[in-house]
Amino acid sequence: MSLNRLFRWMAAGLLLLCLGILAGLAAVLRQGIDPAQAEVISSILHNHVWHFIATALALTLLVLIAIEAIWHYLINPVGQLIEETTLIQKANSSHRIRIGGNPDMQRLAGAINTLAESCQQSRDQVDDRICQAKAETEGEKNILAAIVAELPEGILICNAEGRILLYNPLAVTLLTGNPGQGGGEDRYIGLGRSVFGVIERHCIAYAIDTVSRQLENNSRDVVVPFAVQGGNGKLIRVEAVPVLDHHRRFSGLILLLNDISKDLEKDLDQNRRQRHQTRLLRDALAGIRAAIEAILAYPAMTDDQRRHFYRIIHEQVIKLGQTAAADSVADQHHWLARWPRLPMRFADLALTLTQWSREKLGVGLSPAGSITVDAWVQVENYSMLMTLVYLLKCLQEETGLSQFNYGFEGKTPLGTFDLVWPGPPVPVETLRRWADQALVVGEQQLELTPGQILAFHGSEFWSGGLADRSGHAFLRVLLPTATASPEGEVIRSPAILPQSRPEFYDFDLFNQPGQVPEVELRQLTELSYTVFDTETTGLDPQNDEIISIGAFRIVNLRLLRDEVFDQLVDPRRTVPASSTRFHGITSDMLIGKPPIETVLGRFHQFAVDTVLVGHNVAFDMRMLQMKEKASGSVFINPVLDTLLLSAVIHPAHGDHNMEALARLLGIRVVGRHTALGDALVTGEIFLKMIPLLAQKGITTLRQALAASRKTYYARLKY
Amino acid sequence: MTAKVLVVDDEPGIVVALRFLMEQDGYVVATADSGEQAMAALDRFIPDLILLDIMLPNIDGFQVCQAVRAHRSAQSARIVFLTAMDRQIDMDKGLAMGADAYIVKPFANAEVLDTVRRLLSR
Repeated sequence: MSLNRLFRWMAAGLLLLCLGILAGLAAVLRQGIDPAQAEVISSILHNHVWHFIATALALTLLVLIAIEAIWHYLINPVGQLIEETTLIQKANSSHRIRIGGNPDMQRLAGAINTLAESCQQSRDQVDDRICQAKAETEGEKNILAAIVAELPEGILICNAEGRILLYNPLAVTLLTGNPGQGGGEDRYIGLGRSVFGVIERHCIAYAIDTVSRQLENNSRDVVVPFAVQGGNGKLIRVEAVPVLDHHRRFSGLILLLNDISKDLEKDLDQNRRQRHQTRLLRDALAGIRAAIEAILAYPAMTDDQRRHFYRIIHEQVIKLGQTAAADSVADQHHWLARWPRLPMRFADLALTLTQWSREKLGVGLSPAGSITVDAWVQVENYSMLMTLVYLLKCLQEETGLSQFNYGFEGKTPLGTFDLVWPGPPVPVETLRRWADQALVVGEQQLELTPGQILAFHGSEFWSGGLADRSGHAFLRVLLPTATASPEGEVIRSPAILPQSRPEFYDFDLFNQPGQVPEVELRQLTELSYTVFDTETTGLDPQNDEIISIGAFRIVNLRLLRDEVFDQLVDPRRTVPASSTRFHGITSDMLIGKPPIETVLGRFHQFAVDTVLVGHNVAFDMRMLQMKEKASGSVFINPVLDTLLLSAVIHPAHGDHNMEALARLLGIRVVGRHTALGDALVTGEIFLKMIPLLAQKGITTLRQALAASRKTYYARLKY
Repeated sequence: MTAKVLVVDDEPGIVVALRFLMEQDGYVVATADSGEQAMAALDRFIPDLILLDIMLPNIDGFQVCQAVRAHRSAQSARIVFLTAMDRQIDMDKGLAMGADAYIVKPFANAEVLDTVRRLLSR
């Protein structure tokens, strides 16, 4: 029993005892006096009844004031001291106690503050040392995280129950079509989320079955490929690799993802072309053969008939020629598309070439004549640069010169890059020899020959004399030109090592216990949460509308700042100025935003399999419930309210609003009165509350819900 | 004076057809089935026009073209590449190497005749 309650019982008991003693005294006196004395006493009482009543009331008031004073100066400060000391110990080590009450209590609070200060300094020193020790390990983890994030394949790892433990941004793009915020319109990828939200359950089940059979058969190859529909209609090839624990039991899957839509399209296209070509070829050959055999078999046919057959042969041969020409162009495009080329400014290529020529060969290169200044080329940078340097090296050996000029005309589709020198052109057979030799420049060597590299670029090179007959010759290399911003190219930004622990992997989730049917029996520390807040046009759920929903997820006691739901909503009415003054959202800002029916569906998907958390969340839940019918989204998630939990943890505190709680728990408030900002603060408050609840013996969801229901604030209804 | 045409191709069928075509049009024709033969023929035949395949074994048509342009007697001969190399860059290269025309196989006889007549009338 708490001190407050004990005091109340004791005060009530004492009061009753006093009354009992007075009543008993009156009864005893009444028995011991004679009727004449009783008459006198009765007369006195009757004549001064109001004096007696007033005296009794005054005495009662004095007693109550005394009780209140004792409670205020002695009892309540003790309760506050206990709560705030626990707060310092469990949630906010920088909090210091400031209480009223008697001087001894204040001195005790001062002593606790001094102790807390000293503990915090010691803890800070220990934390620093731990941080230093962990920095190296974290650094390696962060490098791994950066590598995973930049892999050209999508990667997603889930445990045996299908809960996601790791994913990279490409996996999000491939499976949901939305590279940001962890998901698309109705598909979300995130830590702790189910992989079945983005990949069909039967595909995963098939992979697990196949893997299990392969493991039973001790097969060395235990990769299971299958295809799924990804975001934006892409076709995704998935390779499932099993993860086994040290007992070789299945404990999860690594899913490697690749977009095969384009490759498939190209292959289908080529297949179609080849079939078409074969058909045309067969038709044409059949016509030619029939005509020739007829001519040979029937030498006596008329001239007209013979000429007719000749015309047939002629027509079929022309058709074959047209088919061959068309196929040649298509094959070239198909083949060239596979060679990795990126757009590059010619000026940059020339600068690098000039530097390399000087450094590696001691050859000077100067621009001369016509140069298209802002031209772009599309080349595989390194191999093309090496080829050009190699050709310069060959020219240097052939001509004995160490200085060359160059020019470039950025024609489409092939620009002309000319190296110019005084002297005769290079013979064709010499050029052919250069093209077929190994590409070696100093200590650098490429596996491909210059001829192969140029062929891969769809390029050619030759030598000739300058048209002005100045006695100068040129070596011309054709370079594919490009526009500056090619369509469909993936932009690769630099990989930035995260400073803090990245939020797209959490291997602790590997070992979390499986789902218990009764979520209320689970520990608060194990559950996943969606912390959310709404902004509305007013405070009347019957007549006002939601205009903003902001939410974060908490998984494994981590608030995931990268998995965010932040959506403005079209309320289909104007936003009153009084409401705008509060949250800053105007009617103009909501034009074109989706309606609540759409947004609720997405939010429902975002919050699936989590406990909803909010501050004074009864209002927000009422707003959501008002739209259940229209949206078809019914939120059956358990709900926790940080307002109620605060009343459970700090019953002595009078102020449970968000700012007061944040101050008490040492949390910085940013973006107040925005849905996302308030959701963030609420999430941080909630995380601080979990150990404080545990201190009060509240460790499961059921216990938290039960305790919340008993608070005064639970009586508030909307 | 009757113009002289040298046909250079390693495909016998094409050589026969082109020879027939040129002779029908009144030209004196010599043939070669390799780059070496073609270069050897330059001294004794001195053609006015050469119908030249590119993809020849050993010495290719580009080399022959370069040799013709450097030959003291034959350098002014018109050169027509007749080839299966159909990429635009092959055509650009061929004309840059000194050819006067570039015809892609399979060709129309009329096109070859027109080109030959045009070049020889200059």
